[in-house]
Amino acid sequence: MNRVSVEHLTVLGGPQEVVRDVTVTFRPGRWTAIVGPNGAGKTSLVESMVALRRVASGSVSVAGKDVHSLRERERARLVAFIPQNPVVPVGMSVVDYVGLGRTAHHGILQAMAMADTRAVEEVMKRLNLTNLAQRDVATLSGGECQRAVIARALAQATQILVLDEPTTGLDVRHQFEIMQLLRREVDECEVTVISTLHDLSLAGQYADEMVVIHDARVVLHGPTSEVLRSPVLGDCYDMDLRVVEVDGRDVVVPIQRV
Amino acid sequence: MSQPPQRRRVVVVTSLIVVVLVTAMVTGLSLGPMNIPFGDIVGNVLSHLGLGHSVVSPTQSLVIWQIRAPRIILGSLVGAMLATAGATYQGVFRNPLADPYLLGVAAGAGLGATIAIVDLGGTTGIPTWTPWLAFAGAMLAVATTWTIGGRGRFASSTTLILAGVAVAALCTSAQTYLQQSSTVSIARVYIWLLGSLSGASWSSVTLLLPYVIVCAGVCVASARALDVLSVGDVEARALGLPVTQVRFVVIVASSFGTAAVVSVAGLIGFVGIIVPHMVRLAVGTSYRRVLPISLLGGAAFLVVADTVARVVMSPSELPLGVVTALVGAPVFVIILNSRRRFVS
Repeated sequence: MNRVSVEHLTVLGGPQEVVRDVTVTFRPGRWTAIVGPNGAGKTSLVESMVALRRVASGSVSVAGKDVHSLRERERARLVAFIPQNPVVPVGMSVVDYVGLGRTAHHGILQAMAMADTRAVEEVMKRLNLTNLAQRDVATLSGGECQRAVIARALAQATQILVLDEPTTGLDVRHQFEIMQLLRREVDECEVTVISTLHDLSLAGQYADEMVVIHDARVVLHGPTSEVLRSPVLGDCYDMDLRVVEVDGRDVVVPIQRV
Repeated sequence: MSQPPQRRRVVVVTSLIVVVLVTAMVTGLSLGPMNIPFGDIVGNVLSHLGLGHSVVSPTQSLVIWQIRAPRIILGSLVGAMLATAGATYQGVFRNPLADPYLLGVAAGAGLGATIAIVDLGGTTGIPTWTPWLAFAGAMLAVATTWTIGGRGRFASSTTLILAGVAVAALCTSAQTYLQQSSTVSIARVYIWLLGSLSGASWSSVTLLLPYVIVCAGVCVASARALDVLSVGDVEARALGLPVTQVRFVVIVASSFGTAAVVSVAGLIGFVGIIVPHMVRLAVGTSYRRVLPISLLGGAAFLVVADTVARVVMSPSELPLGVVTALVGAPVFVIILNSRRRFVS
């Protein structure tokens, strides 16, 4: 239920190939960070995992099914997706917003069932959002808002979670808060998390595996600590990357090449 | 997960609208070139329900039930449909300025009606063909808009709106050309374009009723889907909403309903914009509340506006579209101001 594999995937963005013949299998129940320089094709890759991109060739299968031939509803029960800049509706309460995650579970014309309401309540409690339930989502701070967005995705109750840059625009504390929260989903519920990340140190501390994308291709895939120490990674950014261990955790210090 | 203060507000607002609607209906039955006292109307209505005796004369009864009543019912159907379609369009296009005429319904209907009046009509009056040609013109315009801008899995609401602009411009230019080419009928074309319920009869009510029930029903039933769409096409799709199909069904329903309304009542502007915005101001933005309350509010608003249109210059009538715009524009400014306070 939580397996994602991409085979010979090519995605076009205009005339260019933004994902070029990518084959990668994500480890189920683990967290894989997709890293790489800007414009490498990370977003296109994750978007095609939830069939938001037209695919030129190749396929993405989720839980053994081809995502592009699944109906929206079926797909949304298998994989939840959070874009880099989620649209924040004006005038919607947090509880209603999180409730949107149940769309694929109740019928389009039907009201939420007891099970849906309970799922929303439970997720909100888990993410510490209960006291914000009646607030307008548009008035939340950046950190609170991102928590609400993640709550919405968790309310979808999928075994796979795909996130595009979940820490964009957050301060250090909130970045760690979000990371911790996702880590807990992986450890406690065996959710497969696939996220693009720019911050290599964050990826180093939280992700189990890393996929490095450069020029629309996968150039490296392996356990985080190994990928961080590979000279190939630095070449992608044209930077020297020094890995320093602080309290047993890998921290990446980038140094400009001369 | 209930929200007591919000819910109480919904109840209060809904009851208020019902009171306004009923009062406007009874007032509308009472006012006109032949004034029938308010009390007599109430007595007459009650006597039809088997309560008490009516004191109105047979002529008065005829005026009440064959002239004014169908007009009031038609007015509430027209208002309900326009307001519901407006709210639906605003939701499906995520654009507060969207109105039921956005995709070319108005321009298409205008063209159809002008063809009927200029080419098929005699030298006086509005030909009986007019509603049918208006309806055909409206549906043709929306279908063209959809064909150009709405097809394909990844078509966006922006491409649809832009296609609508192009189709509307084309229809309007053809309509204007036709209208200008015939000086005898220009006044009648204008009267039709400005909207009126003066042609109302029980047969026009029964003609319109099924369209309104089905189309407004589909719109109200799609409320939850429209709430999901408020996070945009991409996320709505990721949440499991079949965006393209939902958009198609909802646009077809609201355009069809609008076309039916336009064919019997002409172009009545502003209802589809101001009613939903007033409702949002009162009960919040969720379409599960906005849609049903707009339906009621649109009916009340149009019955009031039509009564004003009939009474102000009695025995002659103001075009209904003039009244709705006259009331609509200032109300819109007020809404805009209070919204600005909300945002900043």
